[in-house]
Amino acid sequence: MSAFNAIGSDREVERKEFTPGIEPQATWCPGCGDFGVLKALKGAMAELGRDPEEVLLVTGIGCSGKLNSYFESYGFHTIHGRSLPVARAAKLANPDLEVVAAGGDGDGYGIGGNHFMHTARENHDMTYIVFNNEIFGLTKGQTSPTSPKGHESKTQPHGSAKSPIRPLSLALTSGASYVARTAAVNPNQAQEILVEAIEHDGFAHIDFLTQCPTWNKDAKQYVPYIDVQQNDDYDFDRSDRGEAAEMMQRTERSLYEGEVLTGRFYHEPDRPSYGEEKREVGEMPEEPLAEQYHDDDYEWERSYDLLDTHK
Amino acid sequence: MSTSSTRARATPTGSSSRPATPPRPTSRPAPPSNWPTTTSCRPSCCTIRSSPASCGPSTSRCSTASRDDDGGVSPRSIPGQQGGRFLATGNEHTPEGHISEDTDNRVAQLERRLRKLEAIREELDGRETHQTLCEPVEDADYGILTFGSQQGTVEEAVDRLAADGHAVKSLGVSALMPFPEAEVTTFLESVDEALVVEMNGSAQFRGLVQKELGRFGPKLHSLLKYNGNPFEPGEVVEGFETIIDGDEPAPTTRFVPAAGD
Ligand SMILES: Cc1ncc(C[n+]2csc(CCOP(=O)(O)OP(=O)(O)O)c2C)c(N)n1
Ligand code: SF4
Ligand SMILES: [Mg+2]
Repeated sequence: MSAFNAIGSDREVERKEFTPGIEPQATWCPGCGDFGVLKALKGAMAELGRDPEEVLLVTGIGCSGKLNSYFESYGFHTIHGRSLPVARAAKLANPDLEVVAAGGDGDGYGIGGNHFMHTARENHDMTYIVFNNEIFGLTKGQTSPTSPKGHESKTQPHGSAKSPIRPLSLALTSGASYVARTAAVNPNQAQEILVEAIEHDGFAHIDFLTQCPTWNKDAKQYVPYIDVQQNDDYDFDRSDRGEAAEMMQRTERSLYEGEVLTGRFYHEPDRPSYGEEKREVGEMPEEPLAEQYHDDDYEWERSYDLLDTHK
Repeated sequence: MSTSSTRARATPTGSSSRPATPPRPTSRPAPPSNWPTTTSCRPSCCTIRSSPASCGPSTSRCSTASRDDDGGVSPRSIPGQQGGRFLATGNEHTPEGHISEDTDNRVAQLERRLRKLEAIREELDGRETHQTLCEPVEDADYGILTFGSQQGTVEEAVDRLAADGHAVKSLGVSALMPFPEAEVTTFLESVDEALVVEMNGSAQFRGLVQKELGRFGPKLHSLLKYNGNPFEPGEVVEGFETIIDGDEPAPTTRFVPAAGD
């Protein structure tokens, strides 16, 4: 029998099960978009009938990184920019876990940018939520990789000389197999997109626009938003890399012109995940690695013995 | 560089054969008894957020006060296991796992974590040592203390010095934190003077030994090398001879005589 008996328990799960038993006082500011992510994630997990104990929520550092302090599941609050390596390892060790990584735009597109690129490229099977508030929130409003050119802050007093990165395009060219953008101001769409992303077998990237009324824009600045799937002006095939790329570029540009485009931008359902590839070539066991931890008869290898020490 | 004298326990004759690798553990060491098992009720601990009402004797487990057996380590369950939720976090937290900046809680939690250092050292002391003693002659009056990649070089130098009739032995320290206080103390107490060989300009390792042990400064000389090349055995031999006859060490090294603590 598996030691991970919470996995695949197949029962009705209520939304409130994702609220910690002793509910903490959230330290997010009133009106913060981060509440919207928490709400949508609770809704999506309940909709999918995931047991809180089969979910691992791995976060980075920032206001956004506090998500797993307010969400009831297994959690790992990592270090700045490193949610993805931890999430990858957990998923490889136990592919049956539902792994969600989350963090800020500074965390994921800045200091953790390399992990973002390569986790997308390797198509690790997980959902990655980037809380994009276009600044560093926790450290009081500095310019981030998604702040627009000319953005004035304590770190860029004369206006940022840097053009913002293009998060959706970056995900696509890096190799993400599901790419979407949603917004805290649109909780219904956010929940739907999260459900799709969690169900997707591969790396699902969600650029989640989260307003930061304390240091940057408030909720009003993200409305009206447009769902590109529900508007005839934006007809494109999201399974076509070229069409998706074009739509993403337009979306990224228009955000800085005050037009908030959201929705699904790319979906490639059939690409094998990294874990599948590794199991296919026999470098990862079929039986989850994590089961060995509870196997009293398992013959443990010392990693020292696997090293070819200098003679 | 020769590694011929690398050995865990030198024999009195100075045999230079390598020791057999330690036997492999055949099965995973038993987890501490307070670890959750798959059948147990929801375990509770300092970072497991469960409602105390549902988890049995939570108050003793969640306590940050001293427990005899825990070594400051909170029991944990593994993602996917029923009956336990665990948040690993760098934010200071209450025993229930919630973020807290309360100063009393902070002190209790930090002191709990500090207990881990003692517990780790205690556990390591009960196992095969990580330090490497090279003792080609019995009852050596002189010691050479070193760490890291110059250990093999130091051992070669000790062999040469012993062959020249010097009563010298060496200790290569592989565990820097928690520091192997007892082993290093025994080594330093057993010699009249010691040379600390290290590859930097500020005698960092000697400083660490003094910080950890709070004594022995008056018998610790330093041999430093920082020209970018590794130590040669001959340089260690010459540095050692500086203690004995006051000659200049090799020009590629710097000798700093013992001062005090
Ligand atoms: C290695 C490291 N560098 C810098 C910091 C300081 N720091 C904490 S949060 C943060 C940026 C947070 O911005 P973002 O990732 O966008 O998250 P937000 O707070 O906006 O949700 C920085 C630079 C840190 N904690 N660790
Ligand atoms: S500083 Fe901004 S991002 Fe952080 S909690 Fe407050 S509103 Fe949210
Ligand atoms: Mg941010």
